[in-house]
Amino acid sequence: MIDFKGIHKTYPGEVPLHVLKGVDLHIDEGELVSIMGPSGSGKSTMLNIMGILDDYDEGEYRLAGRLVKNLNEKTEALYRNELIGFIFQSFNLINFKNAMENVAVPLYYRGVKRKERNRLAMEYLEKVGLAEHWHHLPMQLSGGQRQRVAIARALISHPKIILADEPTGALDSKTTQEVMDMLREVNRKEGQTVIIVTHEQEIANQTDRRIFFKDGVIFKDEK
Amino acid sequence: MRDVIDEVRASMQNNRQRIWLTGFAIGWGMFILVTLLGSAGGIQKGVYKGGNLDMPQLITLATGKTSIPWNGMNTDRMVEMTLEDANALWNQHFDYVANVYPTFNQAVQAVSGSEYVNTSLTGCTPSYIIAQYYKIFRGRDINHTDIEEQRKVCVLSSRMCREMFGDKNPVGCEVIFDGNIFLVVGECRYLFEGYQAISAYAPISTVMALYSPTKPALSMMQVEYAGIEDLDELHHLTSDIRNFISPRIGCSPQDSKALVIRNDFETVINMTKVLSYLGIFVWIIGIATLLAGVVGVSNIMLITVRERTRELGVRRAMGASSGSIIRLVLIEAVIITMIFGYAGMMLGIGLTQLLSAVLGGSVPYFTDPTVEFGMVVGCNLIMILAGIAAGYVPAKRAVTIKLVDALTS
Repeated sequence: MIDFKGIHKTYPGEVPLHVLKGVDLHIDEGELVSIMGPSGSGKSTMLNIMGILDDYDEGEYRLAGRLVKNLNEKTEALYRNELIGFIFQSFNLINFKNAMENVAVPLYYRGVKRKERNRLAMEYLEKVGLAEHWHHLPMQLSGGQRQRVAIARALISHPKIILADEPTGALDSKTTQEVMDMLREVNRKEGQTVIIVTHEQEIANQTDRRIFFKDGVIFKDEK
Repeated sequence: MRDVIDEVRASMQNNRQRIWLTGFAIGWGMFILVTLLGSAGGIQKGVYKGGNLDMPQLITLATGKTSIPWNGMNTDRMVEMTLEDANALWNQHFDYVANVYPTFNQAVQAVSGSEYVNTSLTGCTPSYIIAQYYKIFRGRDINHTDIEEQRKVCVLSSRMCREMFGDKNPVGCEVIFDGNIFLVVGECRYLFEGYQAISAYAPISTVMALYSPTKPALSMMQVEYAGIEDLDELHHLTSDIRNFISPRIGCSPQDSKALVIRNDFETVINMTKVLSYLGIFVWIIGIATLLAGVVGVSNIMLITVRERTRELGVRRAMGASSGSIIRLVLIEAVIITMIFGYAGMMLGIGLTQLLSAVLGGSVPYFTDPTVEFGMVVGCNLIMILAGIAAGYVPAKRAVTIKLVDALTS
């Protein structure tokens, strides 16, 4: 599903920052993976490259068999829409849209008609237990509820991969566990590949595979 | 499209203060543009109307002192035209000449009962009054029999009738010009509003016999022409008339001071040029004002896009292409511009309509200050272009930010 071969990434600046130093990684379809490492180790950069949110300098990245390099902007947008679902630490919901509209955003860019979009959004809000809050704006929801809306948004377009960057970083322990249960269920029931970047060992322990980053390289990969 | 409009509506509802600020700038610009255009149009129409510029058909001949020696005669001599010159000119049958009007003017005091006015009595021939853009409102015009029999009959302007006879029908009444009793046979009214003069007309033979029996010099002569379509033809006719009349009255055909010839057509051409420059000037001022609004909208849109960087980044992460983001920002700018532009335009049209209704042609050279349909179409196009111009730079800015930076902004 995800193939990294010798991926390098350097952030330019007065002192260029070489973040990824030749990463080789293969993740199969249906895996539940966590990526851990200290701050600045390159784990978030790696997730951004996986999600085609950022580009890389050297190496080769294949996503679902397709080479991700020098793609035009439209194709990148298409891949993000069809192949990937994102869950962010800070939720990244659109503040003037209600829960249902936020969940429906990926479908809007896929050209799904409004009625169908809303029906599916309600279905996914039901799945994450927020159907009765469909009309609430993000600021009217708790942190855990917002993240559940974000999860519903990530799932609604049936992506092959769910990329979660510190999805529980802003949540309390009870809500953290609820979110993790949800992600594990998605992985188990839907067979979607779930990749979670986290600082927390407890979160990592709930995944099937744990990848440890240090100084821009993978130094441990355990199942 | 409904989705896009809903997106824009939601975004606008979320930024109401900003929308009002940007909208005001555009609305004000459009209001100024429309008001200026309407006012300029009112001046143009007023000048055309007041100056009879839409009915140019007269060449006016007047005489003065010679400035060039002619045929052994010195300069600085007064030359004069006579009725014979007018008849001779008519009998030449120049192309395009439809009529020749010799006139003789005399300042008189007109009395009727206890009412009196000081006015000019114009001795003229049939149809002269009509050629001066009057219509015979009551009674009749001066006719050939009046001239042949030197009848003491007259046609008075409506205003003079009002001054002398109030609301009474003046036809059949008598009026005394310097002790001579004239029968009023007609009342004439100027074709255009606002310029009613006190004037009186009588057969030229009668007036000249009364006031200049020994010296049959005309005050002026007018030549009505028809069918001339360009200045070359008019210059040719003017030259023919000058070459014919000048030797008859004893002056050089090159002496433009001795025989002064003025044609309204050339005046119209020159005035039209001035008015078209006025129109262009108004468009420039109006568009410059609108442009200031566009710059304002663009600046505020830039700030907005900066504020919305994260939201637009989220949209891109969810699969929005750059094109759809640019379209979103552009449509928002165009919709803001259109809504407030229309409001400004309607206010401007309303003001010009109000001015038109209130003034009602009472202000000289300012008539019907309303905007034409073509101008409204032009303003619509300008609004759309203004919206695109205002939104393009912010829209491009929105998609040039790296996606990963947008998400963490």
